[in-house]
Amino acid sequence: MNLHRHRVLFGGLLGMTVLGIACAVSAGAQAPERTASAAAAPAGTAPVPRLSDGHPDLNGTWDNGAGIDFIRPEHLANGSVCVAGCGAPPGPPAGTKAGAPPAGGRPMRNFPKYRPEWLQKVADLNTRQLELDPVLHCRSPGLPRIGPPDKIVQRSGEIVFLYDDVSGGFFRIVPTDGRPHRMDVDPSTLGDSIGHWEGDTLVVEANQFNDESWLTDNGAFHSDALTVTERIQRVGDTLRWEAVANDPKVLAEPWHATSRVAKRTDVDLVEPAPCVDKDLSHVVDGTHHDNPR
Amino acid sequence: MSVRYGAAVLAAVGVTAAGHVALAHHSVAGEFDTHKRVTLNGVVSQVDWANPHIYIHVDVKDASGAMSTWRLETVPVAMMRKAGLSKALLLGDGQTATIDAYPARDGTPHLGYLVKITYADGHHYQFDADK
Repeated sequence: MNLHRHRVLFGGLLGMTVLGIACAVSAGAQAPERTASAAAAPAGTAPVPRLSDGHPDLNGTWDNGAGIDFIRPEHLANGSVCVAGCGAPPGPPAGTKAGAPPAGGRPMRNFPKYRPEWLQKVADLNTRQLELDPVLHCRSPGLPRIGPPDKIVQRSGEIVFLYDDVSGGFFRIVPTDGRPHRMDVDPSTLGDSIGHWEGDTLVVEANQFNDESWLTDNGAFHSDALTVTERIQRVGDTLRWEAVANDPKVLAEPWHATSRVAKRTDVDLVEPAPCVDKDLSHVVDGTHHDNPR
Repeated sequence: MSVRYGAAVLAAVGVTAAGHVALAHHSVAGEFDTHKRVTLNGVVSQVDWANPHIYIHVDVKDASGAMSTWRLETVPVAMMRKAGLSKALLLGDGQTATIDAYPARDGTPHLGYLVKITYADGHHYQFDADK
């Protein structure tokens, strides 16, 4: 209980911190000016606006669908709303037929390739996902599982990524002024990030991770040797995000996370909701939804 | 109103071929008996606007007049926002509501999953398929 309370409080403080940073950086006089506008052009076709330093303007809020693109609420008469199950025939949710739900998750299409000596550990973690998956307990998803940022605040020499995650609000500060990684920070789930430009692509390299997050669903653990390289490119009013995780201690080869495309939106973020798990003690079998992010 | 969740809402919700909702976190059927329904009549007295699942609390009076409070799990915040629904809308101005819910599989009393809530003025919010 105390741990939950701590997480809620921390989440609230973090949310305020994130918003504070966003406001402070947004108001910064050092922000290069945007030199073109693509606001009225179709996503993906408009010319890429640039800041006065010549780099693409990544500022803004970016809607990556939040993993719920398939949810299309129906607004009905008299204020009624069908959020899900609209017009669908009744039937058991996946994995529940014949009373024999699968333990752990279903096979994933894009899953890291592990060194042979770690395969049993992955299988064990997968079987015990409800108990051990950090995000099911409202902890940080880490990189690259957290996916593309929901908001970017960009100025010369520094870019801030803001995340409105189901586990809470997170931020990353990415220096782009050529400085090296800090060597005096504790390992963390989001690591230490530095960025540089390769043409019009922002390349962010992160290291100094702890081993407390997973790369993706289904037991995809990593070690503290993890490094992650993200490549972010603006194409019109879309943001293309790619990430490669390299962990030679446990992975047989670098793993390419599923690429994501986010669309620029004028709908700004709101304070993230607290994440408080109230369910897991009531789950009577090992079923869980796929949670690849 | 933002519906974003970082990559995180994780596929917070998944829909099966039958169109049913499977929660982020865990499947609905892992916690609730989707083959059974309970019908409640009461007033939404509290909404826990939180992830990974929002909960509504419903004060229900049984046939003997005894009061109990049901705790009903529903969708994550991002999904509720995407539907344009809010804490205030779920509270429904204190109207009496009729609720369909799946009961908890582990037998926990007064715990369920919100399938549909219909308020006294006739409007409703639906979160899984009707019977």
